[in-house]
Amino acid sequence: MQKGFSLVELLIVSLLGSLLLLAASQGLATLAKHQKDQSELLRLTERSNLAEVALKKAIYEAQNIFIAGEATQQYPSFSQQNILLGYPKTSEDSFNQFTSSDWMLLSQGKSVKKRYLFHLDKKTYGYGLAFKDFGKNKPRSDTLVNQVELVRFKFFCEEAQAWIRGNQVSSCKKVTGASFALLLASSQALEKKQLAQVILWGEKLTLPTDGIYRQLVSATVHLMDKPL
Amino acid sequence: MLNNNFSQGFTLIELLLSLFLTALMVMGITQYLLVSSRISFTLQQEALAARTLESLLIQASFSNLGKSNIEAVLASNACPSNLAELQIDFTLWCQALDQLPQLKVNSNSNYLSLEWQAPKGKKTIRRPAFN
Repeated sequence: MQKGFSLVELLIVSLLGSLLLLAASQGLATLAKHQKDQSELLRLTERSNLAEVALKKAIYEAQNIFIAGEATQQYPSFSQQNILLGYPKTSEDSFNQFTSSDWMLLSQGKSVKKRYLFHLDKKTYGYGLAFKDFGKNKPRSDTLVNQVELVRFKFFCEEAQAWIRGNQVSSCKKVTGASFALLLASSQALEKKQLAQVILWGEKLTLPTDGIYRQLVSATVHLMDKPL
Repeated sequence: MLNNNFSQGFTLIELLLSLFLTALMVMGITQYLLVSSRISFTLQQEALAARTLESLLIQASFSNLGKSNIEAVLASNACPSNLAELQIDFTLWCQALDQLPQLKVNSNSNYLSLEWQAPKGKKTIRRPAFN
């Protein structure tokens, strides 16, 4: 014969069971959120590593920085302008550029054809760090790393023994090194503490308060010490 | 075939045991979250310390002025307020001061090292000294 539970037993089990179910569901929800945030952070770190390695490799292998340009507006401004490259002077090449970011054109050889441009623009599938290889038959700008919101460059001028900004590069005979800084944004909002403001090389950058997490990456590289 | 045995159901002890096992599972998830966060935090700290040293050493190699500026800032153990004047990129150093608890710089003729309090004790990262 089935005995069943007494009312007190049933109440105890129901109470404990519901408490445990609540705790388990809370635990699982936290775990899911944690995993989602971790994978998003991992994607952000991968993108920042990719951008960093690409720039480091390009600068390290470069024999010269031909020309560079500085931002004309404060971050965050994602308006674009069309910039005439201006190297060589007769060049009619132009490219789109975020007004709040810097850009640079470097060379990996004697030929003017061996020019590479790093800039920031918005294309059909989003914005990011773009790369253009002028050595190709039909040079075109491709987005290398998505969701890069800001790029800053500075260059070490050998004769001045000082760090200079992009607009001064053309007046420096030999650039022997470059520093760059990138600000990358996560593709989703994250529950991670974010400073409202960061200071980059003395410049105050006010970060948007949209829940999106932003990561600042900076590095310095020597140019390849090889005569042209 | 019909089963003529009476169905007895679970006893209270069996049910409490199953609830206890569920509680253990929840505690397991919590432990996993804690350990995973701690490992990820430690790895981030180590990467930041290594990148900070690398960045400062590369910048010091460009000029003597840069090297002396870096040495002065490291000795002060603070994020400099005149970043624009110093011309050196102290972004990582300032991040390290913010994110590595009890950060200490040790420097001698052979090496430059950073020491900080990680979640599981003190950690040190060492690189060859400024040339």
